[in-house]
Amino acid sequence: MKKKNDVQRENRLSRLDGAPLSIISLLISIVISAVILAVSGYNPFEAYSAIIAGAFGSLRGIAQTLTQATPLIFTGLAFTLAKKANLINLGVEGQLYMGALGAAIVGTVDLHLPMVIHLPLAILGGLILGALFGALIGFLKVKFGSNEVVAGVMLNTIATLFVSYLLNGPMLAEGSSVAQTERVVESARLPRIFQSYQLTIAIIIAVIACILVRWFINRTTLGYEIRCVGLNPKAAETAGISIGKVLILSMCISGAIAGMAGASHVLGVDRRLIDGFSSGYGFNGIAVSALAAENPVGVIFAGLVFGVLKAGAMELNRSTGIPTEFVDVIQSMVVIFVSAPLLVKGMLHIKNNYSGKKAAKVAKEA
Amino acid sequence: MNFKKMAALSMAALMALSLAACGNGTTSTPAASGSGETEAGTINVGLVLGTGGLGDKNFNDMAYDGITRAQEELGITFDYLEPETASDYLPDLRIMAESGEYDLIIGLGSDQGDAMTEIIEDFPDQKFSHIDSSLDLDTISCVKTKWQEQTFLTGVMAGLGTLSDMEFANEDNKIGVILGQDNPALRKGVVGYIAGAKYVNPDVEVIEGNVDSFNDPAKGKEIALSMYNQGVDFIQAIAGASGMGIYTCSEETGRYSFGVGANVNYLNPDNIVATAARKVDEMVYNEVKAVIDGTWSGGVHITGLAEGAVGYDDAQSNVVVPDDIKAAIEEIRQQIMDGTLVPPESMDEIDSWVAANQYSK
Repeated sequence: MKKKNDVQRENRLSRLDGAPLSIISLLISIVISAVILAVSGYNPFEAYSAIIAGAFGSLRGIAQTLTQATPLIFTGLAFTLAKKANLINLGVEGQLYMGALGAAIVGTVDLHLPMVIHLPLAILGGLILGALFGALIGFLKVKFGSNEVVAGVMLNTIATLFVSYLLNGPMLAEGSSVAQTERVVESARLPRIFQSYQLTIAIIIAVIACILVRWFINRTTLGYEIRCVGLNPKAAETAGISIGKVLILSMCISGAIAGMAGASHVLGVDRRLIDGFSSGYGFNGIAVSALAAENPVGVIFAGLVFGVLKAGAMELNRSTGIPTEFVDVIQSMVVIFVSAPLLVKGMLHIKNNYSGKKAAKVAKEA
Repeated sequence: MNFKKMAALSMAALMALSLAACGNGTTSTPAASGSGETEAGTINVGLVLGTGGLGDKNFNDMAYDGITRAQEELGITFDYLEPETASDYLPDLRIMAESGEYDLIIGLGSDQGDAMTEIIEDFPDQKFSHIDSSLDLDTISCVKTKWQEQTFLTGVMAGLGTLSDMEFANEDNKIGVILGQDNPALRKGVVGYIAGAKYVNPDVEVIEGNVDSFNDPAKGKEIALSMYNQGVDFIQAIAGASGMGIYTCSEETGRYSFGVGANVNYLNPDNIVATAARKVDEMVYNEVKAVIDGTWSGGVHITGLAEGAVGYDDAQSNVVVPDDIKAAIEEIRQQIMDGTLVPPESMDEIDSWVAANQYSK
């Protein structure tokens, strides 16, 4: 009887995937991080309560959590969508910068338009530049056989330095000692949800985008083609799907979503384009996507988890002597465990296998 | 199977341990003091640093030095925040202000200007000090520095040094100054440098250069090289990170240079004579002290040598400066601190100012 249970458990573990794996990974990360804290001489309970208080303890905390989650949901979604076509879009950071640039170009010019026209135009500017920059990676891959990972990383550097150049030269705000553009004009700003906090309606756009992408992948022809190409490109080609078109389009859409992350930051949070504004949102998007088990709707929750950590880090920094870098430790742990499912399974196996072996031995003897 | 498990376990253990080991290192650094434990008579201060964070050997570290000195000497308590990007300024200032635990909140650097302007509208009763500010507000303390006093004494040093028989000084009566950008603030620094040199050496020729970037050491080096080839023996850098090229060039060509901002003398100690220092630590300390003394007030506060906000810093430099020059610098410093000597602020004033003011031993 016991043996049968063990076998069932073994089967359950080997199928461990998706959301349960993510949740278990997250829990393990939290526990291990607590051990690290304790070994380092800090009180883990103090740390976690500071993070929780910082992220949920007040309206400011909740607003800050959602503000931090917004770009992460977009970048996580961008990475997830490309992954559906089996593309590793490491160029999200660059597409985010180009999107920010596009939004800033349209948003800082006073076109004397009402908000209902100017704001969508500014967002569109971000979407287009992000999409083009993403499509470029797809184009390089399809036409010249370049690896999208290498092209993405290289284009990241080009995008960040290009934006930095513009901000130090042609687009520098008059009389500013900091590399930044003029302020985004009133009519192109994303409306804030609470007047005092940086949280804007971009969070709602982000959630809608996730649901739309889920629908797009599961319910449209192009989405179906993307999934086919991702699962088996040769079979897809045989079935008459143009792989080149699908790859370029996937990168194009992925780039547009990444561009939206940049645009929402420029038009909502900073209300101007500042050099180096991204604290690695593009790369954190990969972690968000991994935690979401590459599920577009899961991205919303994964983005929120990272948002909680980021917002909590501020309170942790202020009210305890624990270094903010500790939050990076938790994040890295999550990434390690989510990206190494065998590690988690291995850890859950230990007890199970020990008793399993004993049972096998007994059976053999009998 | 067994091997895999063991590998998984040991990997996890290894990671935990190695990370813990890293964590241990940080425990030795002084952490922010506990919040809200304000003793009677002392105050609790919140400090929002710039984006470079601690360990930048520049503004942020200086500000931290200033506030820890205030902690030791004045018995204050403080918390600090390290913003990751400029987007964090506003939430960081707000988290401090909303907590209501701070008698004074200090923001560092002109790039916090936008966030400061916004936050003070919601917290009119909270005391804010904006260090190295470019704001003109009455409700918060906007601390600015006199650029012309920051570079005046290095100008004096250059003016006297180029005439002296110091090791790397030459026959030509020429000195140089290199800007990172020709903006009104830095222009005052040039004015101070020229006025300082001409105060002690009216015939000196000052050659000017402009890198047009705060982050281009290669171009800074090129301009410095051409100046040194023209017979310049002392160059004042006012060019941010582009200055690195100027300091290196002074070492390679065997000439002298001056740093600016945080003390950079240690970079090329045989060739950097001194740094025209901007002492953020003093500014932070003075703001805290003003609150304790009850002298804190809103408005623009322009600070200079007298307040210790700027200065001539030759610590860590190996350059041997003749005693008579040292004495002259000390004497002129005293004159400015006493208010008997007021350096000019604009290029137009220099000639008439030099005609009216001449140093005599």
